[in-house]
Amino acid sequence: MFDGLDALLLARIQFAFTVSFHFIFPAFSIGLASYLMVLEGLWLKTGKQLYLDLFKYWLKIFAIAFAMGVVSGIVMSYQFGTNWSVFSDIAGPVIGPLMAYEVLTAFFLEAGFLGVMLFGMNKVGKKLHFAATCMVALGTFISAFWILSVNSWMQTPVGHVMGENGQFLPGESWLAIIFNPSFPYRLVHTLMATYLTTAFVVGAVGAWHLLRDRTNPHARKMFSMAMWMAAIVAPLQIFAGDMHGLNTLEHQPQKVMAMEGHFQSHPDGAPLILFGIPDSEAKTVRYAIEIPKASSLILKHDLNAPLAGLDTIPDDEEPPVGVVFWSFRIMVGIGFAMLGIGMWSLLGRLRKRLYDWSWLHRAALIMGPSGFVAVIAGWITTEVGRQPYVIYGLLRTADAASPLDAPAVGASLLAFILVYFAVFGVGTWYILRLMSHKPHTGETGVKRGDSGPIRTAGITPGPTQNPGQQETLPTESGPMDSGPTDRGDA
Amino acid sequence: MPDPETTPLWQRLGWMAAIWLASVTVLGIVAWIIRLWINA
Repeated sequence: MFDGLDALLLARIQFAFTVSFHFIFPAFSIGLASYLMVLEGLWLKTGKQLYLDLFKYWLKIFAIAFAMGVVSGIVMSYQFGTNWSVFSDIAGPVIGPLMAYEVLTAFFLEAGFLGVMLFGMNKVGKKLHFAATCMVALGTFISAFWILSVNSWMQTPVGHVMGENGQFLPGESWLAIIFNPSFPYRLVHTLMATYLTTAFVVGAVGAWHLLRDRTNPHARKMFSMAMWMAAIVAPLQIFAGDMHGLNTLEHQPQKVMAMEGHFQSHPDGAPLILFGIPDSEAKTVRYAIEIPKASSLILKHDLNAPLAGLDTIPDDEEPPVGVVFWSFRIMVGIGFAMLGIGMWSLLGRLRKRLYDWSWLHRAALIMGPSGFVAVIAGWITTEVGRQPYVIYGLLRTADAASPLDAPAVGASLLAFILVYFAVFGVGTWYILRLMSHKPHTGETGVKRGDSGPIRTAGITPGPTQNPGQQETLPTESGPMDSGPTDRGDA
Repeated sequence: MPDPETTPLWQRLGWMAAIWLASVTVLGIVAWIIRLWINA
């Protein structure tokens, strides 16, 4: 079945598939952990039930997203050994310890304290529970720190020495490896991307419920918080992205050449190609719509600054231009759309129409998944733009793969596709189902009936109280009269 | 169920440590099972 296919290509497809699937969950859970921390902190500070309700509403969703992120992440780690054993062998002394720190963080900070978050409220008290929430949020940040440090080292490798056996070995200081040149930019850009991703999911859920009931205080609060995030962080993210791009131009110029579609060098100012169809064979961008000299202005802050093109790079060093060119535009386009939504929400606040501007709510709803598309597009830009290298300039991807035949890699790829779509499809469906439930007063968190069964006077047990669920017993006004679910929503 | 705010701190810290340990153990078991599966 896979005999005619290239094992290296299949291994790359497998890694791209599993890492793309994996990153959807941390992209959401990193931001959501911080959002939960803010919600619980506001509840402790103000004592308002609304914040606790929102905390419990999103906690259930966070737990599922987190679990799927951890499980899909564990698969990623093993894949280094199965499909990329040469890479693991050669680069292991450098990347191994950094990845071990990430795993330790995920286990002992994130997963450990997640249990306290989910099940500990009635055992440890409010303040210790908040401490656990902070630990989870801190854990997601530290986890991202280590993984992005590893990835950044692969993009801008410094601080290592080459061993006699051909291995990359740590040099005099680990700090040079950890804080490699592209790491600070990638860390800031990625973390802000996760916050925006979460903000737009939260905003979309709030918008969805506002379109059904504009008076729902929980939907109003979550929508408002999400739109503040969009209005403040989207412009900062565009600025951070620009800084990251300048850093990339300095350390990985051919990636920027591919992003810009610059097949030719421009000694007197390079145009900004907005759209077009890159043709790597003909070394040109067909049907290009461009702004003269604007690329030089953005990248060099000088209209007439010369910019080298891919004609200065040997053909076998060029990344695939078409993929990088388009994924970059998708990411940037979504970034500006997010900025637009943020500004629209500010206008809505000024006009006091934030909660009843249906078109804004519809737009926010449509933008709900946009963060996921943007982060995947961003990662495709940076990972494909690094090709043909896996460790930039030092180790080619083709030299890093395990000596496997195509059927072996193809079969495991097929298995991953089937298992991932089945397992994570169900998980994602369940998350969407939770999101479709209207947030209300008396959210229950992960356990039904947090306050436990209540008793009537005397010795006869009363009906079990299920806050947030429909009444289990008929009432005088009807068998399924509106229960505690709707209290306080009006 | 007793109000956790009135429970002694050492008892609440004990619960925190116990739940934390149980959570780490569960994830460890998941990772171990995946490892067995990958190495099978």
